[in-house]
Amino acid sequence: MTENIGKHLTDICDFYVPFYQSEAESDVYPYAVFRHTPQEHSTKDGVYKITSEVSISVYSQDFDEAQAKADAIRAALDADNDPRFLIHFLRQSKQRSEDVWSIELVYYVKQTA
Amino acid sequence: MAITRPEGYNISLTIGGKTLLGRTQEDLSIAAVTKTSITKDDLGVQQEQVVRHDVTFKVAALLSLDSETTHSKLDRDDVIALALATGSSAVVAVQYLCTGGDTYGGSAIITGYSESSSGEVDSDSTISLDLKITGDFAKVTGGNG
Repeated sequence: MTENIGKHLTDICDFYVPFYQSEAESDVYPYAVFRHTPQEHSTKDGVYKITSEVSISVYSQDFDEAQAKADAIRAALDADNDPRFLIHFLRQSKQRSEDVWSIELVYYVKQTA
Repeated sequence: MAITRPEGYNISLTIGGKTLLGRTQEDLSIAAVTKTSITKDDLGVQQEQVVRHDVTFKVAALLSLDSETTHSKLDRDDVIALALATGSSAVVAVQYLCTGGDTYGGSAIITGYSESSSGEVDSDSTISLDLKITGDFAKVTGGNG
């Protein structure tokens, strides 16, 4: 089984906001960055699932814009019905640093195929 | 002479020629059953003699169901059917294989079956199976070794 969690999240979220892994590839706001550490789970016959706690941070200089983008991402992920993935919302936090708002969404994601 | 240490996935227990679907752990235990004796010639030192062995297996697996009609592995319902069998139907042929090593086989009965499941998000449900060899447990001719 090949890990596709990052690609799946990107396919969903990049429609709403530029979506990057690990670090932003642009300095134009708004954008979002996700970080995750996939973990493989195996039986003796091979990997049967990959799980990860995924942190998605939405950055904007405008709080309302950051919140709107975060809400759009959350709605899209909640609506995802791809049977290969379980996406479970865990928590949300907000902070401001140097005139930039960031809203972090944390998910538990499982891939089974 | 090359020394190898097989990975766990290269060791398997087959029951009626099939492994369990979703197996995660297979444990073999061989316990000697001894008889203690003492005669006057032993000068007060008890003697221990092995009279037989209790050979048992414990298999753990993810609770898995196979929707195919012909199962290449034993799924949860297959295992429950075996565990509920009685009389001669309850005796199953088992083989214990280790890639690069000898294969051992014998007849066994299922002495215990259990399931574990919880309501936590994405928790794996598991099954556990206990088997006991009845009769000889011996190297199988034509095994890997």
